[in-house]
Amino acid sequence: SASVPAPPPLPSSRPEIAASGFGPAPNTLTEPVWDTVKRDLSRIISNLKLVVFPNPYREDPGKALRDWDLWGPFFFIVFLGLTLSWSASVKKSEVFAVAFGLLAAGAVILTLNVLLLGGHIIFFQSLSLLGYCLFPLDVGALICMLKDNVILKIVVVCVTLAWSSWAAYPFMSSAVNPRRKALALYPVFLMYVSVGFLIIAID
Amino acid sequence: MEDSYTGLPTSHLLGSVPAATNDENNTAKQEATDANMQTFPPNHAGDRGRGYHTLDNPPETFEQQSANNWRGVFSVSSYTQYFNVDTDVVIFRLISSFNPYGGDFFSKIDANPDLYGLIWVSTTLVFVLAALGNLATYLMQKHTGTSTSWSFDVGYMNVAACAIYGYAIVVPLAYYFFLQYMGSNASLIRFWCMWGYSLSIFIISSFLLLIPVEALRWLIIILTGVASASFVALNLKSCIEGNELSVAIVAAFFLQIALAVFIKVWFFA
Repeated sequence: SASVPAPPPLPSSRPEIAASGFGPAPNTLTEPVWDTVKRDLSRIISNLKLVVFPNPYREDPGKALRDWDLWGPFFFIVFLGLTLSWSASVKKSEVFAVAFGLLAAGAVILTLNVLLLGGHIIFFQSLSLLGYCLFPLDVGALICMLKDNVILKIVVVCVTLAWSSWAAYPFMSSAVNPRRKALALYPVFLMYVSVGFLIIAID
Repeated sequence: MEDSYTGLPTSHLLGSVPAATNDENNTAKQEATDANMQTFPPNHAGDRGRGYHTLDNPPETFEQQSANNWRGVFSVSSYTQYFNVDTDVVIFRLISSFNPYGGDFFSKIDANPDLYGLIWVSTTLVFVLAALGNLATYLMQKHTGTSTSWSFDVGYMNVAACAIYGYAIVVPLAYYFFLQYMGSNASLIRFWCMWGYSLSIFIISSFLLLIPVEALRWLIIILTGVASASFVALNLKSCIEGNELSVAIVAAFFLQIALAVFIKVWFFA
């Protein structure tokens, strides 16, 4: 029986297409998985740097708003839920459920609150930014999980709470009428304080 | 007037998102009058800033705008009329809810009842009860010397949420339907607003209930319950007339007292 000759080997994928800028945009469906993951990770990191870290010399302040994504917030919320659940000694799944529900529903409700007060924000941009502002609390929860000392926990939570609120403040306060700024900011503060309390209180 | 907070220095960098303009009222009216197939789908430029795709149909907006701003159940802009309050208005309503002898709360909110108070006072109360309830249990155990280990019961959050949200939503709803049935004209939004603000005094008393002395806790909760209940009852009395409905007023008084006792017994035992 004649054997069918093997077909010539397919040309290897050329990841340089994206870098060169010539020709049509690369098909992201056929690119290597590592490329996809790397691109999303770099976007998460760049958004994080823009939103959470102070940088008075940032050249394009609106970039984080335009390039919003939901992977970062999802990752931070799940990480916080897992950390709290790990730290808890009893009712672990209930702790995770409370933390996840509080944060996810909280982000949606805070955005709706701004919209109802007559403010102007984009729904998913706001979800994305509120999720990124959780990063300091994630760090705080990790530290509290590793070192179980009440005074340290209170100090760490206060510092990270202040950091998170500071990161969220300019975005939320500029979205509403200045006469209603406190009405829009108070629920954000309430959510972060309740998460901070959960971090301190879980034993 | 609304330009000041949309005039961000970076608003020109917001990509495809145009800065919200304050002539969207004019464009909305205009799209209603010359709505025809050539302008379908309707121009969403005015809604771009809200990020929601509303369900308004162009031929019907004109009638709807003349009635009220109701654009459908799923449109956020239909509900903004119930959140049309500023910070100082909310603070004024909160402070007037601490006064049990006023009886004039309905006249204060008459033109502009808000649901902001209901939602955020009850949410704050849920969080405060869950957090301080745990703390108070720990302090009481340390005071009586039974055990000194801190244990956080996350079930407090569930019970608090169900109890407070259930009470704050269902009781005014029940009174609304009852009064409508009896022929008296009642407004659901005003009932929700009043009952929502009546819960605010429990937030302060929760901090006082941390003191691990049982008799003092009972005293505090009785005082708070009576103050809150008389606020509710006096305001209800000013709102509904007729002697046959005084049973309802007394029932409202005792319902609020029952809530106060429940809070003490469950969270601050």
